[in-house]
Amino acid sequence: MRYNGKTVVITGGAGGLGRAFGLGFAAEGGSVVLADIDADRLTRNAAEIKAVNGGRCETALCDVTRANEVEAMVSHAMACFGSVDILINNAGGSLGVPKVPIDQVDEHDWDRVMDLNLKGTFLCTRAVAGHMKKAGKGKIVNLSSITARVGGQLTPVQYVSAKGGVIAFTRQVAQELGPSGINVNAVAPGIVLSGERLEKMWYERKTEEERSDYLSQVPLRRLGSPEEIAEAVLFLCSSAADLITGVTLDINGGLFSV
Amino acid sequence: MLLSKKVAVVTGGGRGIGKAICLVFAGKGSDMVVADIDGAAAEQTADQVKALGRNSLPLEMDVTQEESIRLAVERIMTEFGRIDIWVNNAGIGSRAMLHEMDPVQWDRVLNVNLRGAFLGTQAAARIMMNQNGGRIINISSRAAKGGSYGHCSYASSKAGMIALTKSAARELGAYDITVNAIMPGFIATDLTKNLSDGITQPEQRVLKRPGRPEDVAYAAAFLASDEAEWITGTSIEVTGGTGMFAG
Repeated sequence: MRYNGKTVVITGGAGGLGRAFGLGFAAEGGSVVLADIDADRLTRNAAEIKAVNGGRCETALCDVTRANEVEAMVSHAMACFGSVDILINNAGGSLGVPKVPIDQVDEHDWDRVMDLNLKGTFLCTRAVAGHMKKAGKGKIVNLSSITARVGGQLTPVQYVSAKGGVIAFTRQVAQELGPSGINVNAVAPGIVLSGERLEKMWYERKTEEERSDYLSQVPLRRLGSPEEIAEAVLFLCSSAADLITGVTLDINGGLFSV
Repeated sequence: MLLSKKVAVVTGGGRGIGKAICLVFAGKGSDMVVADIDGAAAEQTADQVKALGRNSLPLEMDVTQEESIRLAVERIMTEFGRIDIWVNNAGIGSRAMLHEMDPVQWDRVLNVNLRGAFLGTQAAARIMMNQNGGRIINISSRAAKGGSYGHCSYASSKAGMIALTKSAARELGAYDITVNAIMPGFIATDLTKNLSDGITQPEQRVLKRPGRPEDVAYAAAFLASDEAEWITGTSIEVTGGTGMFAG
């Protein structure tokens, strides 16, 4: 079991990806702390993770855009399990902000999407970095997006920009924390139907023809699953990836890679 | 196990990174075809694979010769009946400043590293398309992105492997064949042990420890596994964080 004795903090723990990450780590012995603002779904996902054979899961209500809540969440993780060995900066999303021409982008929308995706990643990384440095080891995986590589058809500029920022943040922090034995990487998934908003975007805002055109451009001819993203995240957090740091791994069925 | 009952072919499997890939894959349950231009080295790796309890087939194979590859594939199909994983790992370097490089040196490096990977990919694709599935992994180099002081032919061949990887991924995706690359940074092997003089500039690395062949093998094992099913056309840098200092 790759994660025996490891504590894994997963933000965005109420969503579909957070659920898949939690189940994946728990199945391999990890103690999971799920953080999110949505108490109901958090509880539901945590119950599933605890149902995994020997699954350990704590929850924390936490808005990753608020420093005090992030600090409290990490303190809670330390109090529950005594360490934070792995951080998955998964909280993110476009908050339902529409894609509009750049001259009409609302400043407040820009701020809140940037805060959720980029500032949240910064605050959580800052909150765990001291603990990991003291331990002389740690793994951090940030969630970027294929839209940061190629732009988005339906995705708003705020989200794409924030996810591009995540790639740069990943490299810079990897450079800084490497000498302390801490690996920092990112994954950039293609379209994964991990929640209602994405399903709605895929099924309601694209026509049948648009969907089939899109899939014909994907070499593997299909969308990905949350579990497939989880497998890559688990690999990056394992000792098999000890020499991998600062990278953003594209997981998109072959649609695009830098 | 992660690769149980797979049949994997590794070119350049006799030593260095190729040997580590053979042993790590075998440890995860795969049967191994160890191909190398040095037949004796291939046999040594194959013996170590057998000691891990897996079937192994050593083959003397020259990746620059189509006939050599054809015969090897024929033999593999007779012995195992299929090929699940093909790793294009065979490679050479050639140290010379570009203003002094003999074009013959350039041709030799491109011939082994890039044309060899093309021929290997082609041979693997022909089998895997019939199987409707397979994994092809190209061992490129961080030099593909960053260039390499004193090794322009090597760096160019490795960059070519990235474009080969992406193109093959596009063509073969419809057959559920994934094609990916690994870009190792500096790894201590026979190929690299004599590089530390004036003409080679080692890159800075943010992680403390130097790279080992096994680090590359673990990444290859991940890409070869069922866990990496939706990953294709991309490359993973296994470098300890080199090339990250831009001021």
